[in-house]
Amino acid sequence: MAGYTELLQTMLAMVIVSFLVINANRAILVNTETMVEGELENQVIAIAQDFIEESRSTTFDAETVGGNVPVNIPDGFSSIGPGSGETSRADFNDFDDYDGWTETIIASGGIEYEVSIEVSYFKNGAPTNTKSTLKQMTVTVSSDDLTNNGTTKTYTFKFLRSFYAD
Amino acid sequence: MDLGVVISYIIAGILIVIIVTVGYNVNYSSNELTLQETQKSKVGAVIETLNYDLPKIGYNQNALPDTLILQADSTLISFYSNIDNSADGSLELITWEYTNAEITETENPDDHYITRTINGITSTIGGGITRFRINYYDELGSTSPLSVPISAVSNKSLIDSIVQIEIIIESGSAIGLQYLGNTNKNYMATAWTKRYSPSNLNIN
Repeated sequence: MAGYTELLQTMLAMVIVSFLVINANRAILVNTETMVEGELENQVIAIAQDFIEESRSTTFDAETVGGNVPVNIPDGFSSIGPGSGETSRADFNDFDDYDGWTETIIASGGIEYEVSIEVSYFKNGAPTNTKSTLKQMTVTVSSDDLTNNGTTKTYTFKFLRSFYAD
Repeated sequence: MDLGVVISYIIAGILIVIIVTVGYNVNYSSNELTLQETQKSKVGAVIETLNYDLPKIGYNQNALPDTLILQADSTLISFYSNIDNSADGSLELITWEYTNAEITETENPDDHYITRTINGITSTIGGGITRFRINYYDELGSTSPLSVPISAVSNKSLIDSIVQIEIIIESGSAIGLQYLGNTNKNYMATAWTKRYSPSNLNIN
């Protein structure tokens, strides 16, 4: 049996090294995931900002396009949603036209991001169906490349706009 | 020598090689992460300045200037803004340009300087930018950029039609990482795209 003791010891060492290798690979995987996720999340933020800034460059309401102001505020404001004939972003001319908008954005590296937007009136700290001088935009961004245990992560950004702050 | 001992020595040798390789890989991966995070913070400084300047295109306290964007090119944009918010309403001419000047202080052969010029005073921004592309759009959400260059002197109506400006930045780390036996250096890259909608370009 001489020599086989060393062989057994070596096999035990192999087992220990296997654990070491597995843990090291796990660390490398976590590093890589962190790098990729950080990169993509930066882009998610930029995309959400794009839509929020774009909507801010339009007027608060369909009734205020061209510098008009409704006689009764807020009752004179329009209903939430795009007006008739407003089917693309190029047609949008007020903040709530973006309600219900969905789009796939292809950013650097060919990564696809799904964007969906909701706009609602906002009163007493919550979204409401009642007309008010505040509107809230909720931008939701997700990507098949950003997952958590196989489930697609969604990133939600909220922006509150006031008629009087315009 | 006993066969068991010989096999043990061989396996032990393999284990040592594995341990050294794993150690090297973990170290390489950590270096990658560190370089990319450093690069992101460098690009973040450029983005912060862009975020300060571009939304203020055409800004003034009382009235819009007649010319908002003076020059629009794929690597250059020149625009007017009262960027210092001076009470006298004087406008500054601000120019962002991706230059051909290569940064010689870094190992990376592809990084170039960006310059930000305000009324003739130029400041240089390094940050390892390897690509800086500007696209201009005449409709919100358009996917077809306008052909450049456009000048307010020769084609004012076209330059006035710009409503969105897209900036694409790619940057690479100053130091390259070289993997075992690989002759090429790997520069950690980061990319960022943003579309600006300056409110003065889209007056409803």
